[in-house]
Amino acid sequence: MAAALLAMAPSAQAQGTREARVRVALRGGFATRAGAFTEARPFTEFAERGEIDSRYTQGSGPGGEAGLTWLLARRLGIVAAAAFAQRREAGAFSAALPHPLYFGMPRHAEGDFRGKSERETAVHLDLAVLGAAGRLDWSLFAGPSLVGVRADLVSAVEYTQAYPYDRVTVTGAPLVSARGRGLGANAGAALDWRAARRVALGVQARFCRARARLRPLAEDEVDVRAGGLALAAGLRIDF
Amino acid sequence: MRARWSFPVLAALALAPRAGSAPAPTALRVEAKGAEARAWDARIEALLHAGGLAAPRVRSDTLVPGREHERYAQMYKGVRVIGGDLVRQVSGADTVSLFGTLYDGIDVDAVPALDGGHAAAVVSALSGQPLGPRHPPELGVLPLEDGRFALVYVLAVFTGGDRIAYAIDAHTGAVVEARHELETQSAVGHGKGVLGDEKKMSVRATSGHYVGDDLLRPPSLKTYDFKGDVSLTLLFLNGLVGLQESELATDGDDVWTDPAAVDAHAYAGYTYDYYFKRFGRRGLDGNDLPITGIVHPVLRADIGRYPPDYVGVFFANAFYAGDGIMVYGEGLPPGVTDQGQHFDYFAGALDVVAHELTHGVTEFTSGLFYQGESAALNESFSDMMGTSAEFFFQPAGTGPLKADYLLGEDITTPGAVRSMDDPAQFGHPDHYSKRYTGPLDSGGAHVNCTIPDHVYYLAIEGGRNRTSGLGVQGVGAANREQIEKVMYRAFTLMMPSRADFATARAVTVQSARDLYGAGSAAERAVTEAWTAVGVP
Repeated sequence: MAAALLAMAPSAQAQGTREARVRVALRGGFATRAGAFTEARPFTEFAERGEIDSRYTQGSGPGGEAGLTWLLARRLGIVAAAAFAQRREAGAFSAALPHPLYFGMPRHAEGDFRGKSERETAVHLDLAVLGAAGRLDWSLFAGPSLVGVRADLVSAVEYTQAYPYDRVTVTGAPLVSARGRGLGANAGAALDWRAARRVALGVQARFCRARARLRPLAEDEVDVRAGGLALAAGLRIDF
Repeated sequence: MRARWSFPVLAALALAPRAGSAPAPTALRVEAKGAEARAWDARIEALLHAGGLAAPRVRSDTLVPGREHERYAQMYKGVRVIGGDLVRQVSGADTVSLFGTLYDGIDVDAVPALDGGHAAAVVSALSGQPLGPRHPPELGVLPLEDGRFALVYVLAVFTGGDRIAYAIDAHTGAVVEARHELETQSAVGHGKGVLGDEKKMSVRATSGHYVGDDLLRPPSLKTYDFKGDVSLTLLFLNGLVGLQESELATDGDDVWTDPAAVDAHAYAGYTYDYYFKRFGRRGLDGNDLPITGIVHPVLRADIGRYPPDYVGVFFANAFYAGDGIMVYGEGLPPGVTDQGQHFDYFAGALDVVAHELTHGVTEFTSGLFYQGESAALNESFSDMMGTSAEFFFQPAGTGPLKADYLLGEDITTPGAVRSMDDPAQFGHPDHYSKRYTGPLDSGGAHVNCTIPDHVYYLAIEGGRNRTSGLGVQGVGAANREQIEKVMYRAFTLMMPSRADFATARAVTVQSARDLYGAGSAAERAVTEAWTAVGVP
């Protein structure tokens, strides 16, 4: 892909007296909605297996990244970037709670929550194709990503009950913060306007996708689809 | 067992005694509805004012909103007249129905010459059982067969083979009556506690182990394991010793391995739940009376040590011992049968447990007298509720752990104890013309009960009575709740203590009408069912 991009790239313009070899970019922006994931958590209560089924939606939120580009040639570079995003998280759960007196008569409980957040950090290592047109620099990049996720997950359903215990009243769903990480890939593009000889202002779009495995409890694992589209704008300094 | 209570001649106040069941009682029987019942209001007020009736026990009707049932005990100079009571159903200020029996012409010195301790000593000497202070004798006026009355102390004693209610003359100390009144589900048993099905046990954790003490249900519900100590059983039942924490059924890891304890504990809870969920009733007395279950009153391996009457009580039997206490028989050792049937632990059948606990409900509601037709009604109501509980918790069908119209089939091999569908299957009557009229079994309590049992069956399922050939259009199995409520309401709120089958017919029809309206399917079904079994 890099070779193809390289072939399609316009001719580089003269870069002044000395070509910069290193570019550092700091960008801020936001991460768009990432998607949703579900969790089915079994548990044992009253000598019987129960289950909490939760569905989480990963909304949009602020994000940013710091990137360093090493120019291997005039049109080819390696990019290392560290990114973060903090998405709004909402969720809903339904639970089958064992009856304390009878087998096979689960009580059903439902609830939802919002106002929580999911925090993602990522390290991207990309191969970039670079080009310029007048005062505009552009780049296309792609490569592997290591994404870490910290999410709030429903750990239990709290409820009150009274004889004959056929129904429950949900009083809460405590959340537990779970961490995990996974490998994925990313690709994106950046466009910078050189405001001065070594300073540029620009925008960037990066799409990343990874699957992280969270372990909210010792015996529990949840696979989360992390990443998404991140849009950012910021400053680039060339060295 | 035989009963010797009989009913003397008594009054005729306003309503003529109805012709009907035998022996014809001569006390005033009251069955009144509508204007006829309201005409009694002034009479009741006068009797209350004169001390002829005690202030009523009032129960709210949990099935018909706005209805209350007032139970008045007949009094004579401050002493209760045994078997005399009125049950008035009211809606607001209006009297809806009235059933009961009152005795007139009482002429007896109501001041006892002897105290209760003297009567207890007499009974203790007669029975050979020491009596403790937990069950003091009750003073009452007892109607006698010859039309006279006696001031007596009534107290029950539990022997190894029976529970005998003595009436001791409060003036002379003579024995006026000795009534054998053990309320049992005689002849039951087979299965295994006991059938290998898994149940939850609501228990209490204590000091590294678990005991049979249900802390989740509203009443105290405890199961004790007497480990075959028959001496302890007798001492406890006779009020000489209380129950100790160490006698609770116990398990080390909460995975219970004693099937009798599991079923006794679980099924007592099921029965409480059934009454609560179906009728809104809180336990035996409606006020969460503690429920106590006792398993292993004897050990199977010791059966050779006991006389036959012990076998009939503590092995091949379960019984309600009063005050919320249930004793579950041990069943028979492998290869041993009783009248051709083998019985497993009696706690192993839900209908048996619910049957016996329903005797407790009867104790605190109608108090159906344990003699003659009222005794059969007492047993029948227990059968009805035992079967109803079975249908509430188990799927309909045949075989173990299935709901059907057999009694005790889960612990009995072969067959069952009774059949509500086809009473003749086990030699019981399905028609009033075939009723037992002899003296045994309190006048056929466990035999004639199948007549109203069959009414319950026909009112639900419909069908044809095999003796009369008369057909009944039942409400259908999907509507069994209607008949359960009709019977529950009739037997707990409206039934007088000396009701006979004819009274039971009137009361249950009235109950159906109150609940579901005149001409309703339930009223029609109940009416047709009583007619089909020959109770007009």
